[in-house]
Amino acid sequence: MSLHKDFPDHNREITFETKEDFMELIFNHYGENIKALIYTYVKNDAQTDDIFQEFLISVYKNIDGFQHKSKLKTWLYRIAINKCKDYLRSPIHRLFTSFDDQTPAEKINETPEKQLLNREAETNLVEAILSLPVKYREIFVLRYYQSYHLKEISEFLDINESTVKTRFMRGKKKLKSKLGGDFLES
Amino acid sequence: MNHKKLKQRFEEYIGPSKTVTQENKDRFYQWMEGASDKKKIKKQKHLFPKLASAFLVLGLIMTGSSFIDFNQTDSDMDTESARERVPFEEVSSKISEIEANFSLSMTKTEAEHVFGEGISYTDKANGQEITEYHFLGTDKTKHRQLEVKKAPFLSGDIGVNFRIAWKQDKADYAAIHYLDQNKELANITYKSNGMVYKNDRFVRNALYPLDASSLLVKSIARSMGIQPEKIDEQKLKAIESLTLEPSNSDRFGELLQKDFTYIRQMSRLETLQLKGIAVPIDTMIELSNLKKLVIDGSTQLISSGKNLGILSKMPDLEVIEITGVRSGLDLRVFESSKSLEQVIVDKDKVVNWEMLEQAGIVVTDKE
Repeated sequence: MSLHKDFPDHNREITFETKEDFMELIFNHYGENIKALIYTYVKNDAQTDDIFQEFLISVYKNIDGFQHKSKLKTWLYRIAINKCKDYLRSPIHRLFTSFDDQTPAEKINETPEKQLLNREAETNLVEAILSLPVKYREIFVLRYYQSYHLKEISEFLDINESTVKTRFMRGKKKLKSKLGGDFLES
Repeated sequence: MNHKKLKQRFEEYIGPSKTVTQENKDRFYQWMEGASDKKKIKKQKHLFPKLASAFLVLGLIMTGSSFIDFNQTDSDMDTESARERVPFEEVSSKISEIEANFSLSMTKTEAEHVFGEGISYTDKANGQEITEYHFLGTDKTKHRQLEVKKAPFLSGDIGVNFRIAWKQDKADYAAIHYLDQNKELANITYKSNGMVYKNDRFVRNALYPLDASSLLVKSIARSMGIQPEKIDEQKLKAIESLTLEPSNSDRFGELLQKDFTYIRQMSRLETLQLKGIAVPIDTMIELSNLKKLVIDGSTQLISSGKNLGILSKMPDLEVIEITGVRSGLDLRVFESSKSLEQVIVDKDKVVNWEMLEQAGIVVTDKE
């Protein structure tokens, strides 16, 4: 099996042994971005780790079926995004999601004064984005956090670019009404 | 805010914990070793065991078919009928029983006394202790943790699945899963903040007498200086000053449509402070006694000239304070107000504030 150009050794057949190399590539090259992306969907560290593990297993099991119709990166992002959406749709998620769970863990131990200061400076816009419904949130996260173009986002989400643009504009309107101003560059 | 700065803030907010840890790798490789072992075992199979298996299966089929032919008994018929779902009436009755007996913050001992001994385990996703009950049905799933899927409900294995998640020996949140009358998977969930949802729609508040969002109940309680448990519809009519502000646990919460009905009942409300909470303009105009409005970080109300125009016509509104205002907000619309006496705002960010002063309205600079 040969992999696309963003896999360094693209002419090599993947056997059982080289699958491990491939997984190392995923860990080292894509792991952090994918994990951070998962977090923006589920907003919980423990669940991020679980879904990341499911993502890895799914990638490992399906390497052989990877068709070169899409880039490796697109394929990986689609798997991760689908895992997150499956989780968000599941009754298990509804059971195990309380409002407390949605508070980012690293913020819990901060003093109220620090929270107040941070809130103004760094959390307003990011929080507003993370509180958007998933279909808008994912576009802003991929655009502004992971720095992808709308065309690439449409490939990751497997939707038309025009739909991405529409959601982007609607999301911007929602942010504008939440925050009272246009804080985002196009 | 430019793209680069926003990316940095995302990184600061989400934090460094999203790097791939050694634990992530170990966990995956452990799984992979297991998968690899299974593969090896598969590869070691030879022709003889395969043939032996084939003969065994064939033998079983022949024996089974002759058994079915000549021994069609009542017990077989029973097995057949058990493949149907538990009747909805029984399910509904059990749910009512659970709802009547369950309360958030009940202890494990109390739960065991009321619901019996369930299956206890720690949820691997969040480390929380869970007790799971399987009610009604053929009890095939009685002793094991169940992934909530439609199949065991449809087959009649289970009628009602009930889970309680514990926090320091108190029920923190819970969920009931069942098949509705149309054989669709349905759920009732109790959130830790007291809000109860049926199929994701808010139905009531299990912690407080007022069936509103916990965000509203707690805001009212803080404003009145009394316990949230004491807030009822009567109290709404007495409240004169209200600050709507999400607490830490309600950070991602929003007011419900039902909340606005309660806000409209606050006929004596004179001061309303909105801190990051949006209240629609059609609710605002019902607050006919409102004298002071503070808008802090929730700018939906002032995002359009139309809304500002409506606010300016509120008969008793004397003071408007706006924090976090967008640049270029035009205050001219307040000029015609018959009641407004003072506007507190960052003068550098608004336009035409001088016109208000000419009209006798004091504009106080708020930096």
